[in-house]
Amino acid sequence: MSEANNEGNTGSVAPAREEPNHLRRAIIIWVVLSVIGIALVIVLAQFILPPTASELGNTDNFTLTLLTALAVPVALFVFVFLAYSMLVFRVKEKPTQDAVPLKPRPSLPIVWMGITGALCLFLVIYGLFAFYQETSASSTNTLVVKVTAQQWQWSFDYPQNGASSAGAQLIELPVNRPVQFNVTSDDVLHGFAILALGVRVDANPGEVTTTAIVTPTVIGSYTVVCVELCGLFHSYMWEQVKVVSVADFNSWITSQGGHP
Amino acid sequence: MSTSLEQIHEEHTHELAPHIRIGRARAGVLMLILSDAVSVIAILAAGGYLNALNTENQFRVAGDHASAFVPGLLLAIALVVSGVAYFGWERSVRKSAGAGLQLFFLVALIFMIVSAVGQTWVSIILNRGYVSPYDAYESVITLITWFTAAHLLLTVIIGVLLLGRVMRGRVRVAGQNYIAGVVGYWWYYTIIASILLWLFSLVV
Amino acid sequence: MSQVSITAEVKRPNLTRRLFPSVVSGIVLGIIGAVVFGVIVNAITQGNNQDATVVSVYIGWVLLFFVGIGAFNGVWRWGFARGEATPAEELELAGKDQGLWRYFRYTTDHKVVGMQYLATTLIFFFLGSMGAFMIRLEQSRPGAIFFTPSTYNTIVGMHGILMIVASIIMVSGPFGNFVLPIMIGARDMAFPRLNALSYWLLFSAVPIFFSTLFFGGFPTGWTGYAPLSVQELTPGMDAYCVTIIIFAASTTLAALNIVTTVMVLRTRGMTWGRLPIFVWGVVLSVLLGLSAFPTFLISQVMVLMDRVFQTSFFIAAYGGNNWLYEHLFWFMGHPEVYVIALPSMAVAAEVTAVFSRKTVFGRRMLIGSLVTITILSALVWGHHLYTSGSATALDAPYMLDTELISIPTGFFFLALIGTFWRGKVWVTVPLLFVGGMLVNFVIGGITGIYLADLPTDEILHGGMFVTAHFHFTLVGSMVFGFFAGFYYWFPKMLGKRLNPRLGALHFWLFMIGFNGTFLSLFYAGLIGEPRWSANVAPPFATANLIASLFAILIAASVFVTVYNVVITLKSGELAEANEWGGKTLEWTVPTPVPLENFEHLPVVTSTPYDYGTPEPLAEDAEGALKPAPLLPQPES
Repeated sequence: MSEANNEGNTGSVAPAREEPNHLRRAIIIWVVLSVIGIALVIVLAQFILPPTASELGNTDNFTLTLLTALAVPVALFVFVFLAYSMLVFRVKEKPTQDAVPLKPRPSLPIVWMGITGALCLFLVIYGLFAFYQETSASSTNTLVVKVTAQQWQWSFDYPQNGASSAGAQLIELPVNRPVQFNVTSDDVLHGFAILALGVRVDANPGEVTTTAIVTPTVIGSYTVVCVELCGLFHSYMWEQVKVVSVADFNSWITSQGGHP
Repeated sequence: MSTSLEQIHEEHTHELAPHIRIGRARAGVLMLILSDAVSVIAILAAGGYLNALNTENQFRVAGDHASAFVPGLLLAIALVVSGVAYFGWERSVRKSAGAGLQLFFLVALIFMIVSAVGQTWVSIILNRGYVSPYDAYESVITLITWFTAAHLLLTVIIGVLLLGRVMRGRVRVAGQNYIAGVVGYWWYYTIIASILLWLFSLVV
Repeated sequence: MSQVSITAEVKRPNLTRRLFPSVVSGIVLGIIGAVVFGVIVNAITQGNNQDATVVSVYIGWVLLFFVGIGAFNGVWRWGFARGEATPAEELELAGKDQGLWRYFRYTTDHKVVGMQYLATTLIFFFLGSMGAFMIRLEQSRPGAIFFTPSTYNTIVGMHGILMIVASIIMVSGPFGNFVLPIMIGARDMAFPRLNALSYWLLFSAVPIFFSTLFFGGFPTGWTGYAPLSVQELTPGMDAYCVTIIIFAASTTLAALNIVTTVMVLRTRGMTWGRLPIFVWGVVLSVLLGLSAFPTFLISQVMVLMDRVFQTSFFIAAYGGNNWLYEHLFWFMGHPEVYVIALPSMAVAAEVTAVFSRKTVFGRRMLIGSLVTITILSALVWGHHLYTSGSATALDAPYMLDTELISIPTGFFFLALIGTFWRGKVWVTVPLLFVGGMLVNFVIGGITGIYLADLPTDEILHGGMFVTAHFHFTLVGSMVFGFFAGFYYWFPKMLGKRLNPRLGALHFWLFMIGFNGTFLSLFYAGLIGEPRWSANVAPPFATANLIASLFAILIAASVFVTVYNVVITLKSGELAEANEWGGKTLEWTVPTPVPLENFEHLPVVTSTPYDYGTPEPLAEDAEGALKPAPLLPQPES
């Protein structure tokens, strides 16, 4: 059965009699699966993403969900058209005839560039905006915590309170008070990360790097981990960080030799 | 870019046509120079970056210095002489399509050898003024000095091999004198890169 | 064996001539060189500088190995021989009449070098996979069960480097050498001796690399970050640095060889416009490598200087800075993944066209997208440094840049999907791997966006999400592309037909196992597991256990493939000269391919994608086809 697409159009015109409109079918499958997929992402995200303890963490989780929801139709486009081709256009043995050449209509690359470009632009602008919000947060009441990384433990200083907790397995932070971490290292590169708060920055010897200002909002127990390979016990460099009420924090600080 | 090749030549001997040989030699050497130039730029960028960062204010302490100026200047001059002599020889090869003024080539080679030996001597005595462990500035100067010495020694080896070719008459032969020009690319590049690195070592 | 020249051919192979020069004499001399250099330097330093001694051992090994294998003969001859090499001498260097022994000598024939690269790549993949299975074994339960943290870190580093090196060479080495010259209508590469040199440099680095196991291993993972790499007291770290330096030299030589070959040795009629996409992919890849690898080389020179000579490029107390290492490394490190990607993507395009019996959809658009990816990839290295604290003002431009790469990548997908669409899709093993590649590449590419985006990188950097992302791109996409090429060109290179059922089994085991393993690891990364975890913490135990179980399927797929290759080589069916009905020039020469490829150099009149047309079609100004006559298509 010869197909009557002389000009290699991408098939919006139905060709010969019994030949189904493949393109329309594939697009319908794609749209239906995408809707289902996006719905699943939105519903399941809360069960998959880790708990967060700050607005920053919540925003980041939202961004992850948004990116995944946008990714669903993109990924399904490839999956659906690929699977469709390999199932519907399949020939069982070495073909005896060539297929009819298909050339893109001149408008296709432009439309494609437009759609992918718009998507990309949206992601960039969204990302810049979110990042700007994060890094330009300022406050007057910031608790400054000095973090020193070494092989293979974390040390914390609270210069405003005159306290430090070298080698202790636990630190505490007061809830609802902005905190900023100034991070450095005594020996090699380490990576300071508290997933629940949404902060992460490398600890460089000879430099002090700072995290964004973040406000813990949920009381609970979270972890500090090291995320840059620093030698033997890199994966043992854990520290517990508890977000507690202001009163509890004050008594803890006093017990560490400082003042509220 | 020309895309058609002379097939007749190939059919007979399966050897490459002369203009193919010239083309491949030029392309090969130029890409080697490109790759090497990226290394040089990396070294320059590293030096500038460490200088700008000045970590813990320890990039350069009082008393740090580059290699002595006058020997470096003399070596730079020797390199320029070598380059000019080589250019003279190479131009004469092109014009006469023969062996050219071989004296110029010998001058170029001798001055390159002198530069290489001199640079090696500079590299060896450099560390006498430095105390281990070396700070970042001394590290950068050391790298620049040794890198240049290695480059010059490599060029000497190429020059000696080319001398062999000249003595065997394999540059004079028609179809072979392009080799003078192609080696020349590397020759001039090494000279320019070495002088650039030397100047950088004075200002970093 | 010719019946005519009885006297000339009956000359028996002289054992001495076979053994010297060859890899045997190379190894013998190399060992001697290693010992001599080591003893001398040890004496000079009075045994106080272990790193200096070890590095000099490596230098001695390399220099004398190349003397022993005869690499310097050509150099000497260039300068001091009485005349140019005669055609007979060139043919002997190319391995004429040497049988299998030519694979163990400094042979210049590009097909021999291609086979050497293929064997080496497969061995690296096998050894690297063994490392991977050890990693998954250790990570299947919390705590250090089978390996100490030191051993584990070394296994992780060795797995990383073996796989990275293998994936850099996997397409350009075997197929770039064996197939590419034939594809452009040439008799060999532009610099046959340099071709042999680039392979044997790789070979000479192997003992150096594995010697790290005797010197205490190295703790830095494949990235070799300073100052940990400088701090490391065991000399095992030096093995890593020297291996990288040798490898960078090898790929630089290979790169300039490939580019020069394509520039000057294309046959008549093979214009740049008619060049197969595979050639474009390899050329762009090696050009990128040429400009990217020198910084890696310089970074390792600096690490070695810090270790051996106590300089301070990376020691903060003396004015050095680890940010310097990170910039030098990632300036190479990012283009490097595109060095890996571009040839695989090009293979996928070739394979798709052949097995859809259809011209590549938007061929010029596809080539344009590969060129754009090449250029952009050199500008994005800062996205590895978002959380480093260095140059934070540049984070936004790097994010823009990185996300822009998704646009040309999208065109690549469009071109391949369009090629499949309405084709006569013959689902062979190569095409299965292309399908798997496209599926995995979507996932890998999309998760790259998560990491490119500044706010999300803040919670994902340095975690298992990154690991899963780069495995989806490098392994799930690019290694799948390699296997597509492997099953596609195997009949041409080795003359036999691999068992298609075992091939399909390989694919499905690999695809399911791979997705199971790394989707679990994505999850582990989302919930906070850091990378390089010798000790898997309890919250991540389930995800890691599931990942390890799926990895068993990947292991099974490796053994299925080994079995398939072995039984095929022993007793497989002979393949046809044009096994698949492809139109690129390698399918027009007989199998096995004769020494100088072509009896007469071909003249090319069209692209190799003119399926479905009896003659090349005219194109109007916009590149749209003028109406094609509808004729019953001839037998391909």
